[in-house]
Amino acid sequence: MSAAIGQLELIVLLTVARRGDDAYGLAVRRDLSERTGRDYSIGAVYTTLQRLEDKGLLRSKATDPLPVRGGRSRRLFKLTAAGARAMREAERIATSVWAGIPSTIRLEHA
Amino acid sequence: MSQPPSAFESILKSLGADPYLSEVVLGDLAEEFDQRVAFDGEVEARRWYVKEAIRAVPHLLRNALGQIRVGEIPRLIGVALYSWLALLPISLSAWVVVSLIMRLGGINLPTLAPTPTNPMFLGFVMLAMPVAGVTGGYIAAWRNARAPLIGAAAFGIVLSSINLIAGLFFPSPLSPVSRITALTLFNLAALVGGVLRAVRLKPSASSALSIS
Repeated sequence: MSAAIGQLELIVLLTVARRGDDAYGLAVRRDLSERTGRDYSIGAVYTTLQRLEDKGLLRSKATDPLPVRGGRSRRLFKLTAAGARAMREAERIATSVWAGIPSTIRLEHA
Repeated sequence: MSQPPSAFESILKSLGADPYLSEVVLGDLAEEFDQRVAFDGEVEARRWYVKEAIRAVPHLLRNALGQIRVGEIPRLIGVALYSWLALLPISLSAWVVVSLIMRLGGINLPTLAPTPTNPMFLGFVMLAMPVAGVTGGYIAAWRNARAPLIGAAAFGIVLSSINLIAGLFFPSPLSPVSRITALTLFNLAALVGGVLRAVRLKPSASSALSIS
């Protein structure tokens, strides 16, 4: 059974999956802000990434230290098998609960 | 090459969050700061950095508080009491020096009868509490090197708690409003002391190198 995840967690999970090998905090935050139109703080993004890692839906590894980051590493995130399952489950639930919603209130008619 | 505001880097580190979290947050802030300097100029980039650093505080603080285990509470109380004990000789020395200067200058010491209606006493308390708070907060932050701001906050909370508990057994010479005001000033001053200590620490990236 996959771990329960909230909306922001799902959005972050999808963003990490979309970015592939370039999923680190700054890139994820920019992607998130562009797609949702919301300005997420760096702290909020990392708190969510860390929570997803604690749940076993993401794993991470540090790069070599980079001068542009003041000698600090980037933390690259990758989807785990459990993370992929959680995404599929979220999609299945979303598809299921959207079924039967009148077309007048669907996005394409807004 | 422009550097991010080091005082804010130090403050974020001093919150005592998991080094994994604070280092990646600081790394991202530094990286985006660098890009913003190139596109928006240094002033705008600094403004952005300060705003984002402040927005990161609640997340790092929540993480830091989550790191505190029950077994660590006695140690934090010990840090607070140590700072209080260290404060006593400092306060006494300051009192002696001020008294000497006033006596040599021929200035009469104002009467400090501890009554709620004595404005001199009230003024003295409202001045002494922030001074004691800043000094004690600084010492506590110095003693609690891993999380200086948590040490400073612990100093304020522990001593305020002792004061409030003592108030149950001994009548306070201050009115309730004055007492709450004095304790609030004391706690805020302790945090200021913690920040003063934190900004003296160089934000190093060494712990980032140890992240696996």
